[in-house]
Amino acid sequence: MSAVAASQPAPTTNATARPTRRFVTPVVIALVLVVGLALSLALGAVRIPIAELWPILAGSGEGSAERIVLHARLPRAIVALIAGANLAVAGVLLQGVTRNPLADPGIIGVTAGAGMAATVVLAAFPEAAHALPLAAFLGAMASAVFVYAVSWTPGGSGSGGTSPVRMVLAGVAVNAILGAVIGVLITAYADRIPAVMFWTAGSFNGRGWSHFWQILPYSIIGLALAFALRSRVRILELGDDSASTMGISVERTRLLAFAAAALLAGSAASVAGLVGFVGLVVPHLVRLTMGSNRLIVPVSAFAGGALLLWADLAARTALAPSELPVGVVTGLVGGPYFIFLLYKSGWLR
Amino acid sequence: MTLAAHELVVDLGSNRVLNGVDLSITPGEMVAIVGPNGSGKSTLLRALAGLLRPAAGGTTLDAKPLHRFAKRSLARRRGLLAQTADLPQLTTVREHVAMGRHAHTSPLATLFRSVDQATHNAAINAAMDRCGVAHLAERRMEALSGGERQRVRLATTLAQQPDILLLDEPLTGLDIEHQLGLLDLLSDLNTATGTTVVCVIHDLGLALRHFPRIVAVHEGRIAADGPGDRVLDAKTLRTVFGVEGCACFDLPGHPVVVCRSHSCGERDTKPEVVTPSLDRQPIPR
Repeated sequence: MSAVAASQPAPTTNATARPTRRFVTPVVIALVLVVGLALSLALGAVRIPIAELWPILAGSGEGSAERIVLHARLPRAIVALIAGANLAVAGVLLQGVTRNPLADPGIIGVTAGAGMAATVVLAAFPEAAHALPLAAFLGAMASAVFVYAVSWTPGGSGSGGTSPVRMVLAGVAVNAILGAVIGVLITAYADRIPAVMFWTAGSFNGRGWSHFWQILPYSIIGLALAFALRSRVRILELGDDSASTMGISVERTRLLAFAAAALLAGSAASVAGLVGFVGLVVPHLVRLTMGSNRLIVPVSAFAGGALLLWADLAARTALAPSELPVGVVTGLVGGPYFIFLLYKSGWLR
Repeated sequence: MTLAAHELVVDLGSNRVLNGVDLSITPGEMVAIVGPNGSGKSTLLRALAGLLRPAAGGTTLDAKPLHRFAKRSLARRRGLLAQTADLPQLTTVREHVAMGRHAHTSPLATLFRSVDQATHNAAINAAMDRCGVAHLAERRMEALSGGERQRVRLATTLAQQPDILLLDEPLTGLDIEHQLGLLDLLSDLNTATGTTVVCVIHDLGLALRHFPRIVAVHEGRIAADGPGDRVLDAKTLRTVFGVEGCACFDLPGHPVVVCRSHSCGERDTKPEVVTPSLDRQPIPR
């Protein structure tokens, strides 16, 4: 504890700086998001002037430009936004519930489950590629349920329960097992590796309105649950005994947060593939820039959405006409920025 | 709010930690629970808080079993200062204390900003004032000293506005000045608001000084229960703690527990009534 206190430099405790930062960060994120959305609609193989976007969105557009914006770029951008928001909020929930700053959707088996299901479809049943999102979602859910079940202990004092440590350890074990199985499948179906590799690094290529409708219900349920649970998850950070005597149903809160995170990350993985980094780092980015845990759920949602929106924009324009996996971009751009923030905030000093 | 245990038996894993405890704590009492390591005193406190499911017997609050209370309803009646302190990230003192209000918010009000925010703020401010941390309200928990953190944690529990306050070794890691300050704070709280205080404590001298009633726990049973000077006699110290010694009252109001070679060991006369309130230290601010 004292080591933590010692490594916190004076600037982070500066009371006067925080209220402005709390206000500025959400505004900046909103601006970044709006600009990113406009550029996502305008840029691509066919450039559409930003001035022409409004008539198209208002319904008075025409021709190929309208088709490109309304049926390709807009749904793809919105799917990226939602996926980013889902991953970031899942990260907030899991870091709180497991009391582990390194927790991310990977820790509850969602990533490995989705990856496993997708690999099976892509490698063994390539003709069923249209079922990929659904398969990935089911794989993610099955794996999450398995991790939760494994981390449950009967408990000595009569009432069973999970523990944050067991959750993290079970997640690591399941990840290892499923990762090995994926390796076997990739070796066995070596000729189909490119499709699998591309999917596992994440991509929004060809995502349309059907994908939007597919993840919308899970996203709404997951985000609403996260919002309702946000103060309870924070009280859980005080420890199980304290939270319980303060009137929190510890096990129910943990289960609901776990389920919400699984829904959010599972639905994101089903349309985006395995995009790392967002769930792990966006909550920290928001905390570091805001200097507070207030509003962490809504601000992380917008920040995650903005991050994936820009990452997808970069992924499809940087090396056009080829397309980069979006996970490559989040790592390349987000990683260095995160290190910069860590340094600036004094965590690395 | 009478808190009671009836023939309480608690198992942790395959260990029988409490083996038939009968205890009744009436409103407004100040009770210290003492005992050697592993005697079951923390388990007794956690059972009294309703955190453990008894293997037999039970714990009641005004004759109603603890497990029949709704979580929030119970949280408005008893608060626990747990032994281990997890430090939530990036939390100001005010935000930390505000967490104690959870029991007073309706499930729906947690979704939206509560309408009776003024009530919450009043309770939060009162709790911070009482614990002497109001001037730290906007500071981060990470930036506080151990003594300040412990006061904030107590303030968080007080913001719960419980009738019964349970504390599990609250003095651990505090220097002597902060130990005395915290105990004075508990005595003041008890006198001013009538809050029942039940405290697991290792320092027998401080237990004698601040708690009119002492419960000695030994091997899962209550070995002695009553006024401090009667409970901490040479016999209890020998059988419960395994040391030769006695409570010494040579300085009125400053009882100390001494061991082995001290001359007051087997005094014949009964010591004067302990008056813990004499010469109280002011709360350091």
